[in-house]
Amino acid sequence: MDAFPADIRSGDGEQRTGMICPDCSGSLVVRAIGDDVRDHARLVFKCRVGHAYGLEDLLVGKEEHIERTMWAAVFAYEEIAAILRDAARRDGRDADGIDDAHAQRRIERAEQIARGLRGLIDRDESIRLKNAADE
Amino acid sequence: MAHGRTVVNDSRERRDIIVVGASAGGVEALTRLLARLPRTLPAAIAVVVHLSPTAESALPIVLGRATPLPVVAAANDLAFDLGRVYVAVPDHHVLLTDHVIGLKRDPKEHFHRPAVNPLFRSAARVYRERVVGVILSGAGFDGVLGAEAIKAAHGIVLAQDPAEARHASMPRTAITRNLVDAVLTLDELAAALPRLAVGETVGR
Repeated sequence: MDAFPADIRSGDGEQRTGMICPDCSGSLVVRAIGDDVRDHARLVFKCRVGHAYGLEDLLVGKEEHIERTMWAAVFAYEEIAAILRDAARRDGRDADGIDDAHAQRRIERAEQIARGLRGLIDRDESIRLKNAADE
Repeated sequence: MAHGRTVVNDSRERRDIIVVGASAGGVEALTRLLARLPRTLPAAIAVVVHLSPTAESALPIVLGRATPLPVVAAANDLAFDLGRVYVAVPDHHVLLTDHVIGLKRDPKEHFHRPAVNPLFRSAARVYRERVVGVILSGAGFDGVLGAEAIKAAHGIVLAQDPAEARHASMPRTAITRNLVDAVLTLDELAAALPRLAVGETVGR
């Protein structure tokens, strides 16, 4: 997948990108502003409603998206396991549609994947941008 | 809890594991505090300041220039030795295990990673009554739950005087919850920490 046209120049106007806005998930366009030769043109990404990002902002937004969605996946797996466990404790009431043996396999698999995802998150490391001051 | 009158460490135990938490206004406070510590200190110091997860941090360098103590960036599996200052790095919580630093990308706390609470909790779990938790300038109330863990383990909690702190919320919240043994200025903290490290009392 191409994120944006890498050869874009300041006279080109807005170009479509293959990306979505970190704030509202609208589609992003990109344009280059400034002098292409002397100080390299800066990229500005903008969505339909007007959320605007520099390249570094966009990276930070995507890192935050990863953070949110990875934990969302962890808790979805952990909730599946918890729901199935609690359902089993209700002794078959409300649980007509759940096969016990299958539920047990699903619990084990979901917990295993949740642990694996937690390990992946732990081993990951977000982009580190230069020249940004400590808070 | 007036300055100079509170007696801390009546039991005269060695309090040689110092964990420091700060947020907004914290770099300035830390710089002043660490600058006033002696070159040799029989205590290990771990520091968490809220950092952007995606920005390079110059904090180990900045603090290293400010203090006579050796300063290192926290790293996974690094030995946690007396006499040195270990500084949190972006995007990781700092967790102490027995004489070793651990870095973990556990969920953010108070919207931050690194956060103060995980450091304080891990210190209390491993080092118990040897721990001195220090809460410096900061907005919000990170560090308060960690201070509870330190108190539960019979450690000591000190807070920067809110009147001196650029952002008073973090120390003030800990004080309001009755978790703080003494409220001290940065200069008083710098005088107190070496005494606590060798098992002396402070404030008498």
